[in-house]
This record gives sequence, C-alpha cells and structure tokens, in this order.
Amino acid sequence: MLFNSLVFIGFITIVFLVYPRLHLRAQNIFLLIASYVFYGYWDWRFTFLLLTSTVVDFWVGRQLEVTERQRSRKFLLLISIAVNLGILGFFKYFNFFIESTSSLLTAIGLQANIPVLQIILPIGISFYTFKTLTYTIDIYRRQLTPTKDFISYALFTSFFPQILAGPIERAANLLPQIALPRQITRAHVLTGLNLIMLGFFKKVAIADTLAPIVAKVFLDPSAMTCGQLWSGVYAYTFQIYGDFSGYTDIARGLACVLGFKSMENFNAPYLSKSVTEFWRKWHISLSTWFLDYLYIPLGGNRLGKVRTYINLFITMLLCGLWHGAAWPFVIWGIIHGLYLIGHRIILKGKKAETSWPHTFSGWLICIVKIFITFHLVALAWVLFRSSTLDGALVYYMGLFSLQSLSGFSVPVLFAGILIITLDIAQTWIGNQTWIADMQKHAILRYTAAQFMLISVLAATIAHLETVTPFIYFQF
Amino acid sequence: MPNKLRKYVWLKRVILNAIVLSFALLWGEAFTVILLPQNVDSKMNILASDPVIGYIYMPNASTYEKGREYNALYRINSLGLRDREYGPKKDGVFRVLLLGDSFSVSHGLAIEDSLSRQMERALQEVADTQVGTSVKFEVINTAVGGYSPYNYWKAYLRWAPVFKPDLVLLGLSPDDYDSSNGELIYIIENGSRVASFREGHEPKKRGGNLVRNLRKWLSWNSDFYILLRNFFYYNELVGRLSTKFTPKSEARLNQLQQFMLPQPEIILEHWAKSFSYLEKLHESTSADNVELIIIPIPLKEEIDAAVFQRTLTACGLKLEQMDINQPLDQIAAFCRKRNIPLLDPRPAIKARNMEVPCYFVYDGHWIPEGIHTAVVSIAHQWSNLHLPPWNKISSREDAEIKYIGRTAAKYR
Repeated sequence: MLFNSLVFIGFITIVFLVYPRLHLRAQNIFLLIASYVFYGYWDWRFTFLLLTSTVVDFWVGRQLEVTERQRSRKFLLLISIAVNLGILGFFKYFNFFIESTSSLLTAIGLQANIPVLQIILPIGISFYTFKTLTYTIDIYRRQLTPTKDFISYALFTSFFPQILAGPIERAANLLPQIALPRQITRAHVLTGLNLIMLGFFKKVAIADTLAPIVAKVFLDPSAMTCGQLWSGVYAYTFQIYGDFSGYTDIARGLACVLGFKSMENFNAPYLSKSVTEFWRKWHISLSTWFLDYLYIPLGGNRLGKVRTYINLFITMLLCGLWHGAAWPFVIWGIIHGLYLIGHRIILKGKKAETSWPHTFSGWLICIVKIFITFHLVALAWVLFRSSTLDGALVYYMGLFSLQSLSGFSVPVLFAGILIITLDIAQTWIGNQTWIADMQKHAILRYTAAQFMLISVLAATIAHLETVTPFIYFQF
Repeated sequence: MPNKLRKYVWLKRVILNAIVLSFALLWGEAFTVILLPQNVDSKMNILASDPVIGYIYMPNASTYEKGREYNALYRINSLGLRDREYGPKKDGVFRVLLLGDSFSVSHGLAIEDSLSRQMERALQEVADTQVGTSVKFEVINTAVGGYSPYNYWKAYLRWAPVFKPDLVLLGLSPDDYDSSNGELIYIIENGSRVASFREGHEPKKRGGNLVRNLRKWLSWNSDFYILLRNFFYYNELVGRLSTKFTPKSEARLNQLQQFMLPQPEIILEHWAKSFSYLEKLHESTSADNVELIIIPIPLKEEIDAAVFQRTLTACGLKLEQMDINQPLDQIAAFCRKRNIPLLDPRPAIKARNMEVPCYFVYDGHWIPEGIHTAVVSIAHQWSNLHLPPWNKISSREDAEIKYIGRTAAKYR
C-alpha cells in the first residue's frame, strides 16, 4: 500500500478512528493487524516471510536471554543472521550472483548456463531484515533485554509506517514505546500532521514533479545535450532526496500521530560540508546501522590508518550492495567509500568541521565546501539511477563533453531551491516541524503551511493519473 | 476586551486570512506555471471582418490554439484562410473548395493533420491507384470555427471567384443550424467576434456576466485555474460527480435538442433556415456548374454510445426520448430532395473508434485518426460513385448513386 494512494487514505482513516479508542494491549494487537494488512495488501504471500523472520528472532532473543554459554549464544546469533540474511540473500542477491558468476565464467572462456530464478523482491525486505537484526545483535551484546511479549515484538518488526522504507528503527528505541502506554496529545497530532504535510510536499510536489524529467533524460542519455544531462543529474539528486526524505517524514508523522517517536533519518544532507558529514545526515538510520554493526565490529578507526581505509571501503561497498543487487550500486558504494577515504586523507587526523562559521571568509569557504560536496554526491547518483554501467558511462561522457549547455531545465532549479530552502529553514530554526512547534511568527508559519498545502494539492491533481511509487521501495 | 474591539479582532482575522489566501493562490499559480505547466485556453484573437462572409481569419496571422489536449499552430495565409498560399489554377489540377466549421478547420490539430490536407492525400491516393489518371488534387480549406450554413453559402460566394473550384465539399455537423435568417452583420473587435445581428436589429453583444468573464479570463491566463478546472470537470470520478451536481445547463441541453423526439419546434425552425441557406449554396454552385458534396460530420455522441449516454445522464434525459440518427435523416432528406451526393463516414469511424479513439477525450472534436478514417471512407465512396473528377475517368451512368440514411418521409 502506497502512502500516496487512495486506498491508504481509507486505511489510515480507519486506523486513526479506531486506535485512540482502545487500551494499550488492544492498540498493539490492532496496530499489528493493521501492519500486516498494510504489508500484505501488495502481496499477502510475503507476510509469511515477515512472520518467519519475526518468529525466529523472537525465539532467538528469548534463548539468548537464558543461555549463558558464549558458544551457544554465538550459535543462536548465527541462526538469526543466517535466517535473516539467507532470506534477504535468496530474494535479493541470488540472481545477481548467478548472473555475475555466469558472466565471469564466460569471460574466461567457460560455457556457463546457470539458470536464474523468476523471483520477485519482497518489498521492504532490506529494511525489516536490518531492523530485526538489531534486536538479536543487541541482545547478544547484552545491550538490550528481550521482550517476553510476542505481539510487541511482531509489532516492532511490522510497524506499518516504517516497514516499507524505514527508518530502520532500533529495537531499543521502539520496543519500550510499544510496551508502555502512549499519550496522544494535540501537540503530537500537530507535529505529526506537520511532518506528513512536509513529507507529501517533498514527495508529491518535488519528487514526483521531477520524475518525468529524470525518466526522460536517463532513458537515452546519448540523445541528450550536455545541459539536459546536467539537468537530469540535479533533478535526480533532488528527486531521490524529496522522495526518500518525504517518505520518512510521512512515516515519522504517522508514527507521531499514533504516539510514537521515530528516529530522524535526514538532517539537511545537501548542506553538508563534506561527504563524511553527508553520511551523518543522509539515511541516518542506515548509516548508523552500518557504523554500529559493521564498521565498528570490523575495527573502525582503532587499528591504524590503512585498516581504517579498508574498513571504510568494505562498509561502503556493502552499503552499495544493500541498496541493490546490481553493479551500478556496488560501484556507487565503492565511490562513496573512496570519497570517505579521500576526506580522511585530506583531514590528516583532524576532526571534520560540522559547526557553522562566524566570519565572512568562513562562510565563503563553507559555501565552496557545500558546493563541492553536493556535486560529488550528485555525480555519484548517476550510477544509482542508471540501470547499467554502460548507461552510466555514456551519461558521464555526455556530462563532461560540455558541448551544448542548451536544454537546462528551469523547473529543476526551482524545485532544488524549494527543497534546499526547507533544509536551510530546518537548520536555522533547529527543528524540522517548526510550522507546528514554533511559538512565534504565526502568520509566517500559517503562510508556509498554506503554500505547502496548495503545492501538494496542485501536484496531486497533476499527477493523479500516475501514482509514482517511492524509489526506496525497490531496496 | 470591549465588544467594539472584539469586532475588529474578527475583522483583522478575516483580512489576514484573505491576504494569506491571496498569497497562497499566487504561489499556487507560480508553482503550477514553473513545475506543472498546463495548456491554458487560447484566445485565438485572429478574426477579421469580411464584407461578404462577415468574418474570416486575419490574413497572415499566426497563433497557437491551446487546450488541455492540444497545442496547434494556426498559420493563416495572405487571403485569410488556414491553408497554404495558392496561385492560379494549373492544368490537370482538380480544385476542391472545403466549406465548414471547427470540425473542417480541424480544431486543435496541426495543419498537416487537418481535414483538407488529409482529404487531399486520400483523394490523391485513390486517383494514383487508378490506371491512366494524372489528376492532381488541391483541397482548399475555407472553413472557420463558428461558421454555420449562412456562412457556408457566403464563403462560397466569397471564395469561388478567387479559386474557381471544380467541386465544393461541405462538412456539415448535426449541430450546424442557423437561428436567424436574413443578412447577418458581425462585429469583430480585437480579432474576436463580439456580436452578430440582423440588419435593423440591435446587436446582441456577448459577455456582461462578471463570473463568466472572470472564468474566461482565468482560463486564458491561469495555469492553476486550468489545472483545477480540468480536475473538477474532466477527472473520471470527480468530473462525473461534479456533472451530477451541476445544474443542467442550457448549453448542455442545447447540444441534445436536435436528437430529441419529437424535435423541438425551435430546432425544426432552425433547420428550415439552415436548409434555406444550403439551398442557396446549392443554387450558386449549380449556377457555376460546380458539383456540391455534403459530408455529414458526426459528433462524438453519434459515434460513441457511452459518451451519448453520459451526456443524456448529465441532462437527466433517457435514451428512449432520443433518436441519434434524426439530424442525419434530416440532412439526408434534404440532399435527396436536391440531388446532392452525401458521403457518410459514420460507419467507418464507428468501427475504427472501437479499436482506437477517433476523438479527443475531453474535447468534442475529432483527432487525426478520426479524420484519417473519415477521409479514406469518403475518398472511396467518392470514386465509387463516380463523382467528379471520376465521372470523367469512367462513365457516370454506370454508377448508381446511393444516398445513405433511412427513409425520412416526414421531412420531405
């Protein structure tokens, strides 16, 4: 079920009407049923995968609590990892590895006719797999006490605002909220609605409006002028941000109205002064997952320079692979790994500057840094959007041919200004939901809300016949 | 707070809300113009007065006809026709003068897709496939949107001496009837028809209604308005609902009057007036020894039963109260009486429309596919009936001229 669909409006209306009238236990059961309906609406068969993962991890969690022997605990953790990554690997990576192996064997002159499987990637599998893994790993590390209530745990894994595209919430954050009575105040509702409105603005008014421009340019980059190709890069850069952060805002807003506090997933990433900072602000729930459960266990930066670089490289390579079972994603991950290594080399052991400057020259340098970081990230998105490496290569060659800058799209620039303005407001005010939460400037906030609503209305009507799914659903 | 002041607080809120709403609407307009541009309606202020017909297109004018589904270039030639430039008639050229209204001028379509060009190509194709013929067709488009039988007759008088046609082709729609007889006078201001009246009568000026004028202005200038209008009128679900709740407008009802059983007196009168002009047209062409052919151009309702049913529902009428073939029968009866060949493209368009759309979705006019289907059918009927120039290619006596349509004794 898509957030931007008519059926979801009906679904959420029922949820909002019924949910507040129930007591805690009934609320959890109701939300669990709603979550399974939400997830199963796309294809009910995949609810069994979700249930399998839930049952296994709940059982592993319970066993880890009562098992003291380190070897047995390790074995239990391995069961959880094997089941979860096994399901993910089979559905997401099986064909990729088969095809890659076939290509490799053919390249060295061996005939390989390994059949690929006709399988569909279950929506949101990468997100809930990583989410459930945090549960067992944290219990294994003795950082979390397992829950004894299966309903609570099942709701944690399937919580409908987060199941399709995150945020990849930590068990330590969400499970206590499920277990304790939730308060739904007027402030909760207003903040939640602010987030939902913001999310729809980013998704429908920005991302969906840019989608046709992106689709046209990436369909046949060789037929585009240099100006059109640059437009395409910027359009996709803003589209993916509007799409994904829009989804996150809607998800967080829905959770907020239901009385839950979700973790932040984006914090004005395109205002980053370095790629290192970008990864602290972009898809925060994933980047911190990789930090906590991969980079640090690999040794992080504690084992010397070279080992740090290797760890960064491995982490980003796997981060790329997490996004999709295709070589462009892998290369995208590698490029970001190289960006991070490059930044570390430039820093020479110093810490990356994250605060804002106080002098004019400081601002100038800061703007240059933001400009460079933005373009490094934007150029890497070409790989992310291209379906093949050859396609990406053609795109890059066209981009840097600098033959004709005609065809540069003004709407892309306008959409970019809008989304960056939102980020600047968020950074400046220090609060994403300033329209609802701020006490001052009522007229200004009211006007901003009207502007957003009218933009969403216009864009919704304009895109009515083409509901665009969220980009991150494919991961 | 004293009551007096409280009143002002309320007023202040209203004013503030109005200001914010105005800014929001302006923002909506800017947002739509930049990110979601719409095809605003075209003004098409390219009409010019003409002493014979009343009005024609402004010579050498150029503009775009824009609507939700089209954005067509109108380039007018030096004579005031939506066509190429023509010199004196050359040997071996068979000139057809096309008379008609918006269907014939091909509303919303590029000139290459227009009825005149497609007709020309279709006739040429049929002629080229016949051995021993070297005739070259020229179909001259004299049609102008809004013309009716009075204008067709006048248009013939105006253009026949200029082009010396060998044949006149009239595209006649079932809603092409005149409400007045006698010489009409048109007032053209700033390229637009603002009034028409009979000699000795007061001109009936258009406009005057503030809301209607505002809506018209918005439809010409506001992308945001067009976006909302299209949604509320044309969206599959919302459009149907809004049609249901919109009062049955006179304009909608007028569209159906010619199909009603029995046909309203007023429509019978209008047809009688129209046929009187068509008689004059026929007399003029006969005097010049030029053959007149009539093509009854079908409305979308006549082709698509679902569209007809929707219009009926919107007007609160039932199918039993209607005869969809009634106007065609009237035209056929007239043609039979005057011995004017009538080439009906309906069966071909109906069959084609089952496979691919032949009309715009929201607009009532036909699209290139509809015209193509029509002209292919017409060109074949034309040659099969040995109408000029085929009467010279093979003997006309061999051919049996068949007029289509059912017996309509009551109109004889």
